[in-house]
Amino acid sequence: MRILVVGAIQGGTIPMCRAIHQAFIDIGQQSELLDFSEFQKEFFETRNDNDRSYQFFLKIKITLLEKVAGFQPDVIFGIAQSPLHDADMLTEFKKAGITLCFWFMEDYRIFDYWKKIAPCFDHFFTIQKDPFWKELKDAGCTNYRYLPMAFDTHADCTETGEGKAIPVSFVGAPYPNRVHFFSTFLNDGFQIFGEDWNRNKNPWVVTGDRRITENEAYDIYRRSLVNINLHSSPFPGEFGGGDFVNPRTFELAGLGVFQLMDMRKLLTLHFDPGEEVIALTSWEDMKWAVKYFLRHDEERKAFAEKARARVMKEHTYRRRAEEIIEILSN
Amino acid sequence: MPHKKILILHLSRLGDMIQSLPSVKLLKEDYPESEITYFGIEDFCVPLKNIPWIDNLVAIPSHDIKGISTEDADIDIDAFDRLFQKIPELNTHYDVLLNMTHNRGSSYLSQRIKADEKRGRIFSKENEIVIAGNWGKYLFAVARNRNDNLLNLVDLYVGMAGLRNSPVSCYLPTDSEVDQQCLNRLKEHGFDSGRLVIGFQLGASKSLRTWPPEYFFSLGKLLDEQLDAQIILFGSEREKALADQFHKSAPFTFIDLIGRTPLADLPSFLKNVNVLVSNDTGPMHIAAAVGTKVVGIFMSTAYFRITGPYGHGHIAVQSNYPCAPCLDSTICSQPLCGKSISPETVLQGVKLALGIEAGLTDGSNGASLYISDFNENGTMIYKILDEKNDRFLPRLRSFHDSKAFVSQALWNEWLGLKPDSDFQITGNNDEIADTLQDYKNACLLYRKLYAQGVKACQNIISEFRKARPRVEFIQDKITHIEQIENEIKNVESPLAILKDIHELYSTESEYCNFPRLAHEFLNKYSKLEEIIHCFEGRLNQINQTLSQNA
Repeated sequence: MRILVVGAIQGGTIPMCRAIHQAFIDIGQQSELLDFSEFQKEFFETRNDNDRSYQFFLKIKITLLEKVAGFQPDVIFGIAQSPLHDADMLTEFKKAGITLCFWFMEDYRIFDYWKKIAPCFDHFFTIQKDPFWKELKDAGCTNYRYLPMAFDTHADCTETGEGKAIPVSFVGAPYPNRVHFFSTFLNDGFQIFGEDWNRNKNPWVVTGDRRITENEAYDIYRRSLVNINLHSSPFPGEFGGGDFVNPRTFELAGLGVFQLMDMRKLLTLHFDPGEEVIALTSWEDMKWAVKYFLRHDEERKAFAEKARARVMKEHTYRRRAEEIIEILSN
Repeated sequence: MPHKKILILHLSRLGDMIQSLPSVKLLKEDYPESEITYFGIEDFCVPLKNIPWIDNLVAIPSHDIKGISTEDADIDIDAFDRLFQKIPELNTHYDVLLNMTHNRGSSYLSQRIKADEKRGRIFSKENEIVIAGNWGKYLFAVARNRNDNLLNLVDLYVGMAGLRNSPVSCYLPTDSEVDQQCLNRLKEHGFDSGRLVIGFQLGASKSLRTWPPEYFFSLGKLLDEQLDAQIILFGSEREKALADQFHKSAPFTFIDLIGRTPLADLPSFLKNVNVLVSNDTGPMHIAAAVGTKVVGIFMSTAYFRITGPYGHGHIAVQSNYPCAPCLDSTICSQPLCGKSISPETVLQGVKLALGIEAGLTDGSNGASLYISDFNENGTMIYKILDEKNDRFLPRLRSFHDSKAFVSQALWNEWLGLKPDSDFQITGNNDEIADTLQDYKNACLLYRKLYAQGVKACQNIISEFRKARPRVEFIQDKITHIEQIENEIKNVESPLAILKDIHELYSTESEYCNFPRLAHEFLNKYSKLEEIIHCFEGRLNQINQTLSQNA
């Protein structure tokens, strides 16, 4: 199958585009990646100027059309933040017999662009189920399917984690719930890394003025005895109870490092919250668990190893690519 | 006794209804002259027919309850009108109405029924739901903070009814003729009254709360091998499939009563069992009510502290999963916590319920065992039996227990419960010290916020007394109150129950003009300040007691 993976221009999904593209190749598909990340600088420079922004997106469209004309894919595969927003263009692709797929790996409640694009795709993969599916149906999208995040085994090859150990860390953006809870994290050598944290005057911020690169993140994960994985929420006091399982859960587990996370409704489909990852239901429990695991090295390692084994068996991008191909073949 | 006519409204499921019966028995014992009317759902009222302390049992047919027992925001007034026409007891005037139902429809029903005094969940004049009384408030606040509470639902109902907590036994009398008939029917199935009898309640109202049937099967084998026990399977018609494995391959004999025990006869059947092993479901509470020992299995949304079997010597097997019990917002699509409870652990629970020395089971980190007993103040308590401190899962459960002991000790005074003379907190000493410090810090914070609230309200009130109140000044104080409310809403502290009690007090404030509203808020902050004051005193006592014990 000839698959064109259309990469994101910017944002956290760029590595996922590369990962799924590589996974398609690994399982014997003819995949090409249209890597738009090189346009990132230009995107930021033009986005506040209507005329220049229009010109920029015109260039993106032309680049895409040229690629499609040259590669002649059977499938166009987009991922969250991929520039596949033009309904007319998508209709033309469909008319040309190309199957359109989109992996929407975002929280539908925060990013609502899915309403516009979802009905245009033949297959719309989501990391959430109902009530999102009901809303998709109402929006005219009928061919939706659950496809959870995964771990990129190729990204695992970098030599990292050799620096000084970090007792407890968090890598990610300052969503309101994280700002709220981390403000009460009093000690234990906590360190925070992530863009925009500088605005929040949190004393544990180590890097807060820029996005942490994938390699840097992996290095921090590996050096950390305890990785805090608190899913994003727009509500300050909300801890746990959201549905989707974020990419960080799979990354941390895949790297074989220890994580403490907030409980998710869909978590048990992928991990055992008492055997492989520790999923908690309150911030108080989280603080207590941090102290506990800083004192229990062997138990921490045992959890991390079990989580890694589960990822290698079930949650690699290769497995996701196989699932996608099976769906497309049927 | 000033109250002659008492109405108890319990339009809930079977288990909750059975858990309300000790309070009915105590009511009648304390006030023998009173006339008690009990409203329940017809399907679940059947076992209540022989209860002598219920004077009028009003069973509302299930088809009439639709639209009544509901949490919907839109009240179907026509449905209520029809009910009032159909049931004359609803049009009677009562001295006391006790609403023990946990839904919005019952609050509206409580508003419409005429009674001099109303307790529990009711509608206010502005159609807001308010919870009357400290016990009622506590009950509804712990529903969202179950890890912080030690009190069983039975004791909460007793408190709501304004009664003194004391141990109650045999609160579901049965008819001796029916008892004999049920025994005869058991004998027809090969029942041997000379052997040990263990009942299995395989199902539950929700599949999430069902221990895997294959685990029941393994437990059956262990009970057969080790105790030569007779196994009786209980369950409703729709639970027949759960027994399939028993029928296919059980190497032990068992009696299958699934679908063969009408609810009216179930209490009599359960009297013939030495121990019932059950998921958290109605029959579990019926067994406890007729005096049969229970081993309750708690997972997913079920939590032993609040809905564990009531009485002395019951065993609760609680999953130690870090996410158990599920919060409303964390119920997962495929729970694994049930599988963390091994058949060996439940076997140990059965032995303990029978008074057989059970010893500790290896590899039982997935669940903890508790036994029920009574405190000096008459409330029931589940005490840990097998504290294990070397692994994360049981240690987290132990942390929850320590916190709950402190939390309960603080709330007991507000509820009018005497502190136990031999107060103890189980757990690691350093952690207990940390926990107590966290509570102290939380009290300090709340005290500061409430004092600010009181001052802001007083300022508004005194400003309005002036000939020309300064609008900007008042506006400034109102903004300050809004900030205080917002801060309370977002505060992270171990006093989670207090946060909910705060909200419940807030719903009692009537919509009115500013000076009046300031009075309402002043009243609220003052009451909450009193709670904090009470907590601080109790925390000092606890510290002293622990120091002395150390």
